[in-house]
Formats: sequence, structure tokens, C-alpha cells
Amino acid sequence: MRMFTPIRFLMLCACLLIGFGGLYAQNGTVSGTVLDENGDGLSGANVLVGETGKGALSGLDGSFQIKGVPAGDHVVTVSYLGYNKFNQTVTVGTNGNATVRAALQLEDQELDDVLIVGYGTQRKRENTGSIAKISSRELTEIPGSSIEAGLQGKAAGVQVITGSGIAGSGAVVRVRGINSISAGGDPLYVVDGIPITQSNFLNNDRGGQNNNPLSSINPGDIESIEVLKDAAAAAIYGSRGANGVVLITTKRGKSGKPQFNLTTRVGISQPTILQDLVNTDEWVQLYLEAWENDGNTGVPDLLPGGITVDQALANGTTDWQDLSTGTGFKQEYQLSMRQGTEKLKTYTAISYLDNESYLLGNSYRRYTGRFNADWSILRNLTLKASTSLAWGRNNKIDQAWSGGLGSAQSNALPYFTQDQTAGFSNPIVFREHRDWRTIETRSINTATLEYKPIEDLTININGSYDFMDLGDHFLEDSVITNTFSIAKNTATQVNNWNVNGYAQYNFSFLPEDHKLSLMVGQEAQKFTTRGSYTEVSDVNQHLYLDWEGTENSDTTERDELTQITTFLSTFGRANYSFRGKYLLQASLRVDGSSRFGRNNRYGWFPAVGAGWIISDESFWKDNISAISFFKLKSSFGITGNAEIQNYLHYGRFNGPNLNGIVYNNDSIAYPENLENPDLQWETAATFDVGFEMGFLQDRFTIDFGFYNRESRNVLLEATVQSSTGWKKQWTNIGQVRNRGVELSVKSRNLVGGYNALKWTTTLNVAHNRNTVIDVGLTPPDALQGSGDTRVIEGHPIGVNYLVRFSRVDAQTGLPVFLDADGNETFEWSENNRVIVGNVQPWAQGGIRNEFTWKNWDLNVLFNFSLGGKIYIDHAKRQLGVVKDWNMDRDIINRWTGPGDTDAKYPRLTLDPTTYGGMGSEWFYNTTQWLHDASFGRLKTVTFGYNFRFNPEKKNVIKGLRLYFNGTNLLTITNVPGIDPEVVRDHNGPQGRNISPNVTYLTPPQERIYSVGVNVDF
Amino acid sequence: MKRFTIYLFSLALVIGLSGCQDFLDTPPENALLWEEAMRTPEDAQRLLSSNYDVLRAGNFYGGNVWMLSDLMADNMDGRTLSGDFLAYHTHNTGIFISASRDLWFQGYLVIYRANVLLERIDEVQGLSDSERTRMIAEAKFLRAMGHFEEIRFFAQPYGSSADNNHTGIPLRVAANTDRIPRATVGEVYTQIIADLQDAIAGLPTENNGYVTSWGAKAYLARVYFQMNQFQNAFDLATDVINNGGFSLNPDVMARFSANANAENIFALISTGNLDNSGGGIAGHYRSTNLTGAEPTGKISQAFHAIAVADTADLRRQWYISQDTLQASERIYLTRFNADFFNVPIVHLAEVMLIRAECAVELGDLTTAESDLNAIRTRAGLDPVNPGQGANALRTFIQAERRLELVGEGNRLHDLKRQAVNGNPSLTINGAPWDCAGMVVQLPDEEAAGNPEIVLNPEGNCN
Repeated sequence: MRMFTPIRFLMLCACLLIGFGGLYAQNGTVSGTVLDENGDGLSGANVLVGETGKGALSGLDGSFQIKGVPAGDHVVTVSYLGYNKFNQTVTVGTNGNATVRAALQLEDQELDDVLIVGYGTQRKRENTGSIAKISSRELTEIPGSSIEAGLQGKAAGVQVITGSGIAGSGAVVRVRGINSISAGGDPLYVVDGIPITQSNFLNNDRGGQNNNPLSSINPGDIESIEVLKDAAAAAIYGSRGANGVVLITTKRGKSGKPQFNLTTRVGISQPTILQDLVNTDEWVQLYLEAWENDGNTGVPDLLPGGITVDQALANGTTDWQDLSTGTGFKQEYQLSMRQGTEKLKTYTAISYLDNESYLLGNSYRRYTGRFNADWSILRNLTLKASTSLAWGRNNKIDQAWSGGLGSAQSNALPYFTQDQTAGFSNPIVFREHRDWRTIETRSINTATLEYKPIEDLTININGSYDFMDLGDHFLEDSVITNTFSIAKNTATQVNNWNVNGYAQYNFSFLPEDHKLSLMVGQEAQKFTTRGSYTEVSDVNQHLYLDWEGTENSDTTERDELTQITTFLSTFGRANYSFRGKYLLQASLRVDGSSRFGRNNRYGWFPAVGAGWIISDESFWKDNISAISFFKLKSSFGITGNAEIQNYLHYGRFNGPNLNGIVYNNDSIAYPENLENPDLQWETAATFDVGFEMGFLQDRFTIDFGFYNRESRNVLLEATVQSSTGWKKQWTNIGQVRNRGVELSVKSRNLVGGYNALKWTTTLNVAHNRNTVIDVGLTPPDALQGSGDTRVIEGHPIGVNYLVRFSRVDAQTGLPVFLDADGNETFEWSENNRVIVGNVQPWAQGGIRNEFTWKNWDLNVLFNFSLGGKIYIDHAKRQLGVVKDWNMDRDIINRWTGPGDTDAKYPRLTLDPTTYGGMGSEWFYNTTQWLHDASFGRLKTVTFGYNFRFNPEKKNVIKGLRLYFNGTNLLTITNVPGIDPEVVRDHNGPQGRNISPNVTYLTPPQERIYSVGVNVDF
Repeated sequence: MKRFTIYLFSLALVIGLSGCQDFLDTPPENALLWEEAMRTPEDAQRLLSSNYDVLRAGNFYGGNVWMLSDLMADNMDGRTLSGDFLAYHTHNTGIFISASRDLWFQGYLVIYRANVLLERIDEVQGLSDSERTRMIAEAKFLRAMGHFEEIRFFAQPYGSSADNNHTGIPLRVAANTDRIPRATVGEVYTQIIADLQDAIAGLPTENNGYVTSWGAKAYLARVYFQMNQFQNAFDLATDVINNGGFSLNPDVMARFSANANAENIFALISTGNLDNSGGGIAGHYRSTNLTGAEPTGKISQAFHAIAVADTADLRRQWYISQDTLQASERIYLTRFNADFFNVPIVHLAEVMLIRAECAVELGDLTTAESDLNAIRTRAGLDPVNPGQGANALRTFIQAERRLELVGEGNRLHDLKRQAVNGNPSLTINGAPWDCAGMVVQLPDEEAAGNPEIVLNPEGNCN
């Protein structure tokens, strides 16, 4: 279809004037209505009358009228983004009229989808990059979750490990494997054009939980998410694109009468699994057995915690897990309105969410509001504004062993009673006497001025502001502190400004076969992070509330380092196609950042992509009709990763106003960072090749890709001899390769009308192989993760580096290990650690089946992760030396006496040195706790019923949907005793990269049952 | 096309980002940039003061330096220990002991900051000569102290090989991140002595609560004593005792108090809960609230029996017992039962006990006896019977030393020193004094930074 262009217009006018001047007066009118898929008027649709150059936009009610149309036959074309183009031939008589009723159909063809690509949009058909799109419906499937969790299992090569059962916790997202070691490995999140504040470590890992910066974004407000995976797509984000880019687009207004939508959902939450721990009788029996094994006689005077055996047995069993968990109640409500006139379209929404987890005392509550408006100031000037405000409160409890479920599974021994506060082991005491909440206020705002001075030129100017105020409020009373109550307030504020402008020009004057467009732009972004810490003793209330107490000598108040991060970028992209089937794309971004050293301040990030739509070739069309679409595509480009802390390249001291520390009442200052003027971003060179195919008019589509990504200058926080007075130093020496394949298949197995069963299957699967090529001259222990994971050359990031457990000696009951050479030994030595596996899966993906029959629909998503290892770090204490932890009931498989040949665990002991001279029960890291991490999981099942309303009748309610959803209903795995899908807390990005699959008393996932009602009116 | 160019140009103007080098140059706010951090005398003093803040940390001199060495010796009850503490107690430290990481790092942090001060003191403007001399001397004292505390834990003792050529610790006399190997024990001690002699020469006799020349002399006496160089130790101790103006506190409970007291020669200061040097020690030992968490530091029944044997001994009040004389008895120290107190690094009682033992070795039994009796008398005990022979007197002094300095981290090093000084068959809790595990293993953080570093052998203490 030819486009309306000024040049064409002029030529046409000239022709008309010269050739058909005599007929000029004999004009008619074309009028009609444009309707959307519901039969409602659609305003703003572009209506063109054939070659006349005449056209109009449809009005508020969808009607249009085009006068002065020459008599004769014309093709009327109606187009609107997101809908299939509508064509109809009309005959206009002299001074006559013709009417058109254009009922537009939603674009249903996958390959003709419109993609948001960063600084613009593109048709999927014309794209040469690798982009996965996730719709709003898929994002809101799981109740109470934040947006990134909704990506799980839905896009090939996008690995999402859902956050554990803690309310408000976040997921770990890795696009095409792990590229980074010490620098952040998360993709860049861009909301309506602004790269948002996304650090997981603003609250460190206080309480065993990282802050989730995405939790305050309401998934219900999101129209779509695009994940840019390859360099051709992500290089437009330059130094921040190496780990992929997640583009989040919020809902906008639509022309027409106000449409209201109310969604409500309530649900309950339970843990997917709890540990099987022993009771008091069993525990005491185990302890006594260990006591006797160690050569003692009689009974010990005291058990751990300082009570006698008789007292313990008299106390009975307290089931701490039971006392720490319950049924969480979840509820969420959202009311939204979309409306629009030709001039002004708006989307308004408010929502409320109250998400209790199954952990007693743990919940996340959020209020959000959003207002998006598109204002057509002039015919060629539009202002698009988006504003959102969210307030979220996370009621926290300590995770791991310092309270909460972790304590219940470890040092809260079953013979303690609920009111025994001895030690730091009673989770009930912590829950009741510590009030801990994180409160976040967040506002993300964007204003865009879109100006089309001429038909082919679009200029966009954007200003965005992302504000985050994070308060971590902590109050514990004298029961815990032993002295007086203490209130702590850690306040963090991030102001994030972004200004960008870009212009897009279509070279429409080129000969017909050629299509060329060019985009150039500039962007500046500035993050300012301020923080402070206050601690006051002897108060009765949180410090952010109206507290009573006195500031005394125990009041601490200090500011944190104010941190400023800036990016300054220039970028451009050219798209060229020849006859619509040979596609070329090139982009370049130049990024400067305050994070990089003086000597390496700017980086260049180019990318090229090419595609060939073979199915448009005549030889194909004529011969292979079954394959309706076939595109080959390939790309190469360089992206970067700048996700390191600020100011690493500045040598600096920590001054008195920051540390607030005094010695002998004198303030102090000390070196905090060594200068590193050469520090720079990581670069990733990515090569992609793949194809997209559609069979039988796209009833069956395949998207397949292979990629090879070489990351160089990988940022390493490498260990230096700690006798230097430093522990780590940042360097750019690493090299990592990710190589893999991705496959997405969509099959409309059954299609048909209302009465027929419709069935669609989508499958995505990705295999990635990760190899560390170079980490410099560093021994294994120089790059550590949690749970004895390491980074070692020639192996994937995050290898498990452990002593191999061989067997239990039948005669002595002692553990037999393997030394580094594989020979059996009784001796425990850390020198015997070898590489025994890695934490990265071999393949992962998801299968979705959707069924529709009449008013019913059923939607089933199954996720899987194959290969890789999971290390259960706490098992060494629950199945090892008997000390002050509760034990796993699997300990019944221990050695029981000489000749016990099939014992799984060695003889019980109270003394770690029994096991080969091990110094501490904490060292017992062996392959016994390492398991195949493969799992398959029935992630969500949604079963719904849609009431139909006759659109002709004036019902108040236009649509009504009831549904039931179940999440994490079934898990198939060989991992014993715990949930195989784990996101534990980390104190920095390195742990998050190296140890994603290490668990340490991490709360299991939630199983959720919910019901919902959606009403349109 | 021309119009397009114009639009593009105006766009660039609108955004106006050209020449924005400043926009990218955002030095950190309210931090001190490296090159600006050592301009004034106050800057230098803050760096120096920061070293004392490292010393006082709970995982260093404010707690673990004493606790860990005592756990390795024979005064403590190990029955309820777990984790790192148990590994120290059973002489099975591996590379993953986090207490070792801290113990190692904090000492070297003191050394590093001292080196930074020594290298950058010439940048400081407006510093008087006397202040400059004082600061250099103080930095050298701190550097010596860091090396001395580390080498006692992480290497076999001085004198355990003929030339002291056995493996010591990295000797750091420059502020850099170079990979260096471990120096020999002899080399490290040579540097410690040189630094302390410089410190003695440059330090004033009064220093606002920071280390003085008396502190440096007393500390060097301890170093010489550890080396069994009795004459040097004797001379320095005599100087401190005769000329330092210190006197024994009349009250045996007064050593660990918040106030300056007459006995302390050099102590880490505590002025309040947020300026507290003794928090770590109190955390290990404090026995005021026994219904809550049990203190880690508990005294063995065997030693307790010795300590309370003489009913006249006023130091009996340093102990409190539960389930007395039952198998389940637990014995705690009461010396550290305060919210905050100064932590004496060297005090007069120790110096007198050093001199007493040196005097025995040097044949000056009169001085030995009088020093010993001063300590005994203060503790409410009778003087020893006059005319004791050297061996008997040495036994008395060593026994007194064990009682007087309980909980102060001396016992392990005393036993090793005695073993080197002609007692090769000495055992500590039943293990040979020089078995491999009697030396703490280097932490992984040191080894990971230098693949060539030599690790200590482990184990063999059972």
C-alpha cells in the first residue's frame, strides 16, 4: 500500500490539475463509521480514499465524512494501530455519496504484531532483532506478584526465578544466561521510556531480604512488556543493554465513551512444602545417641539451651514451623477508566493490594494510582503524559536463622516452649517484639511531546522523573534488646531524571521498492541517591511516626554518601528495506557515564541486523504455499553493562560526616576506596542468527534463534591479599561466553467459531551454555558466592566447589570423603574440594495451553527447568553434627552400628572433629547436599467464565468474567524437602550472579488459590 | 532534506547537551576525595584516630584478640562451644573461619592506615614539628602492634626455630596492594622492634588518651618478653615502673572501668555506648543476665578450682558459678560486667609480672620477689615466704600471672613462650605446644589474593 506523502501529493495534484481539471467540479462525498472489535465507534482511525489523497480521521463516535471525492471507483482504506487494515471499494457518483461501514478486526496475526523497540515502534515482520513480547493478560495471572514474576515461562531465553514466599520479594531475571560476575546481571527496566531506579540493594539484605524495586509498579496498569534480547535490539540502550532490556508500556486512553473496568481478586496462600523435622523425643534420642557414640556414658548434664534431658522431655514438642506459618489472605482491587475524544484520551486507574504471605507477620500492602493522557494540541502536535503514584508497605520478619521460619527450621529446638526466650532462637518472640516495616513511596512520570512538522518527520521530546522514597523502619523492644527499646530508621531517596529527544524521518521520496527511515536522538539521565540513618534508644514508636522518647547519648544520626550517577548518550538507528523483504537495520549509541574512570569515559555500542523474508519471493509463494511466512534474520552488535556501584573509580576517604564514628570523642576518617581511573563498562559482543516461520496462514508459527555472546572486560571484584588492608579491588579482566538456542512455537491446534472448542499451545524453550573464559590469575576462592559456589575458568559461572562425600564406612560409621585425586579418605580437608556441578540449568522454558469453548476458557501454564544443581546449604546442620539445630527426619537413615552397610549419613556425633578432624560443624559442605535442580511445575491454571451481553442493548454491564486461579499447584522434582525454585537474599550483585541456586533456610514458594471477578461497564 | 537537517539541529539545541563533560564528572558529595583527604593536621589526626577505632572492634582488640587466644589455651570451658569458637578451642582452624578473616584483616588494616599516614604526612599543611614527630611515632607504634598481634596467632612462636627463619606473616611497610609472600618470623620481629623504638623516641609522655612513650615502652617490654630477651624486657619494665608514675589500683575490680585508672599504661578508651571499646569483650563474657543468652566465655572447672583455692584471694570475686561443683557447672567471669569500660592493652600489673619473671631469669631474685608480692598483696594474699629459689619463684610468678591476667588473652602466648624457653614437652590442653593446629590457619581471603602464599599446616593436635 502506498503511503500518503507530500511529494506524491504534489505530483497527484499536478496530474489532477492538468489532466482532469475539467472534471474537478464533479465531486461526491464518502462517509461512514469506523467500529472497533466490539462494534463501538473508534475515533482517530485514518481513512483514505484511494489515490485521491483525500482522507480524514474518524470522529468521536467513529464517523467520518470526506468531501470532494471525484466520481468513480475508489478503494477506501481504514487503518488504526493494532488493527488489521480495512479496504473496501466504493463507487462515487457525480455529486453523489457513498457510505462505508468499517468494522475493524484486531490484529491477530502474530507476525504482524507491533513491537515497542526503544525510541520507537516497529512491525514484528520488519524487525531483525530478537524481541519477546508479553501481554498484559499474562502478566497479571499470578496474584500479588510484581511484574517480573509474570514473565516466567513466557519468553524463550528469559529465565525468571520467582522470589521465595516472602511477601514483596522479587524475582531474579536473567536474559540468555549470566554474563556478569561482580556487576549487576539484571536486565535494564524501562518504563514508558525511562530507565527506572532498579537497584535490589538499596536496603542491602537486611532481614534476609533484598528490596524489590519493581514491587511498587502495578502489573494491572501494564499494556505490554517487550524483552530485547539480542544486540540488534538492545544496542540502542548501549552501555546498559548487555543483560537485555525490559520495556514496560503502560495502558493509555482509547477513543470513545468512558469504559470502566473493575477487577477484584481474593485468594489464599500456603507454603508449597515445609520441612519434615524431628520432634522432642526423637531429637533427644539423637542427641543421646551422639553423646554415647562420642564415648560418653550416662546422659549429658545439659542440652543446648541449658536445660536438662528431663526438662526437655517434660516440655513436649513445640512445632515452630506450624507456629510460624499459616494461611495468608490476599486481595486486590483495581478500578480503571479509559476514555477519549479526538483531542484528549485518558487512562485512569486506582488499585489496592493486600498480600499476606503464609509467613505470619509478613505482608505487602500497596496503593497505586495512575493517570495517562494523550492530548492532541494541534493536528500535528501531541502531548503524552503518564504519571503514577504508589505507596507500598512491607511488613517484614527476619528470614533465615535470626527469626521467622528460618529459626523454626534451625535453632528453635522442639523442646523449647513458646515463652522461653533463651538465646536468639524463638521466632515467636521476634515476631511479637520486633516491628519491622519497609515503606516505599514511588512516582514515575513521563511527558512526551510528539511533533510532526511534516508528514515524514516525527520529533519526540521526553522528560521523565522517577522518584523513590524508601524507609526501612525497625523497632524492637526490651524483650529482645535486654536493655531498652531501640528504633532504627534507614532512609533512602532516589531521584531519577531523564531527558531525551529523538527524531524519526521516513525517506518516502525514494523509489517505490525502497523504504528507509532514520532515527537520531540524545539522552541525559541523572540519578541522585541520598540516605540517612537514625537510631534512637528508649522510644515507644517508630521514628517516622510520632514517637516519644529522648534523644540521648545513644542517638546516632548520620548521612550516607550522596551518590550521583549520570549518563549522557547520543544514539541513532536506520532501518532499510527493499521490496519489503530484504531488511537491514543499523544502530549506534555512544554512552558516557559518571561511573567510569576518567580514562574510559565514553563507550561506542554499534549493532547491525539483517533479515530476508523468503516467503515473499515469488519462487516461494508459487511453490511452497503451506509455509505462509519465512524470515531469516541475523544480527551482530556490542552492548555494555554499567551496573556497578557509583564512585568506584574515585579514590576517597570516609569522612566524619558520613561515618559519625568517634574514638575518644574525636571524629575519624579513613581510606574507603582506591582510585581506579581505568575502570570501564563490560562489553558484550553478540551474534544472532535465526528464523521465523508461519505455516497455514500463521496457524502454526516458529521462532528459532542461535546466539553467541562474548562478554569482555567483565567487571570483577577480585580478592586481593587482605593483608594489604583491602579485601577486594574492581578490575575489568574477565571474559565470559554465553552460547545458546531459543525456540518459541505457537500452534492454534483447534480453531473455529463460538461453539467450537478452540485450543492454542505455546511452547518456549531455551538452552544456554555458559563458560568463563578468563578471570585472570585468581585461585578458586577469589570469586566466591554463597554456599561454596565459585567462578573458575573453563566452567560456567557458579560452579559448586565441594568436598566429595563417598560413603559411610560400615564398620566405624565415619564419613568417607574423596580427596582431590578421587581416592577415598577419612580425613577432612578443604584442599579436597573439586568442581562437582554448576547452578545453571541446561534448559528452561514453559508450555501454555489455552482452551476456549463457548463462554468458558481454561489456561494452563507449565514451567520447567532441566539440569543444573541446587545446593541445600542448611542441610549440613540438619543432617550433620548434632548441635543446637533441629534435625531433618531423614536422619533416620544414619549409621546405627558396625555392619550397617546401607547408611546414608555417618554416625551421630556432637563433635565435628569426629568427621575427619573437621574444625566446625559449619564446614560440612559436601556433595551430599548437592542435588539435581531439575523441576517441572504447574505454575498457573486459570479457569474462567465470560458472560455475554448483547452490545445492541443498553446494559450497564458490558462484560463480566469470573475465574479461578491456582498457582504452583504441582511440582515434579527430585530435590528433597525444599522448594526447588529459590531466590535467596544476597548482599550484592556477585552473589546474585553466582549463587542463584543455593538455598539457606529460604522460605518456600507460595501455593495460591484465588478467585476473581472482572467487570466492564 | 534541508528542513530535516534544520529540525535535527534545533532538536540538538533544545536538549542542549553538547559539551557536558561536567555532567559526567560528579565527584561524590560529602566524602573526602583521596587527594584532598590529608591537607590539615585535623585530617591526619582523624586518620590516626581511625586506627584506634579498628583496634577496639569486637573482632579485634575489643574482643576476639583476647577471646580467641584464651580459647586455644587451658583456662576455658569448651563444652558448649560451637562454630568458629569451637574450631579455635580444638585447634582445628581452617581457611573459612570468619573470626580468622576478621582477626587477620583488622590487624592489617591498622598496619595499612599507619602506612598511609607515614607516606602522606608530608602533604599536611600547618603541622608543627612536634606534632609531626608525634604522629609518625604513633603510626609506627600502631604498625608494630598490628604485626605483633598477628604474628603471635598466625605463626609458630619466636624462638621455635634456631634462626627464627620459620614462616611468619607478610611484612607490610608500604601502603599498596602488592602481592607479597610471608616474611620470616625473625624479619617481622626485627621490624616490630625498630618501629617500637622509633615510637618510644617520638611519642610524648602525655597524649590525650592515645598511646604515650610509656605505652610504647611497656609494649616493647612485652615484645622482648615474648622473645625471651629478658634483659631488654627487664630494662624497659624497670623504666616504666620507676619513672612512669603508674601505680596498682587498690581495688582488684578497678582495671575494667570507664574511668582512667592509675594502673593502665595504654588503654582503648570508652566514653559511652557509642564510643565503646569494651563492647565485644563484655559481649563474650558478661554474666549479669544469665537468664538470657549464655555468655560464650566460660572458665573451666579445673582452672576455677585453682583460682579460688585460696579463700583470701580477693580475685575470687572475678568468678561466678552456676550448678557449683556439679558436672553441669558453668563458671563465668564478672570482671567485664559493665556497660562500657576502657580496655587496657598494657597495664602496670602485667609489666610488674614481666619484670618479675625476667628478674628470675637474670638472677635478680629480690626484684622478682618484690614485684610478685606487690601483686599478691593487692589481691589480699600474703607475700611469698622469703628466700625462695629461682625455680620456685618462677613457678609462683607464672601461677600468679595466670590468675592476675585471666581473660586478658595472655595465656596461650605465655605457654608457648615457656615452651620455647626450655620446656619442649609442654602441652596445652593435652596437645603439644607446637602441633600444627596451635597456629591459626590463614583465612581464605589472604590466600585467594595471592596463589603463591604458603598456608599453615593444619591439625595434628589431637
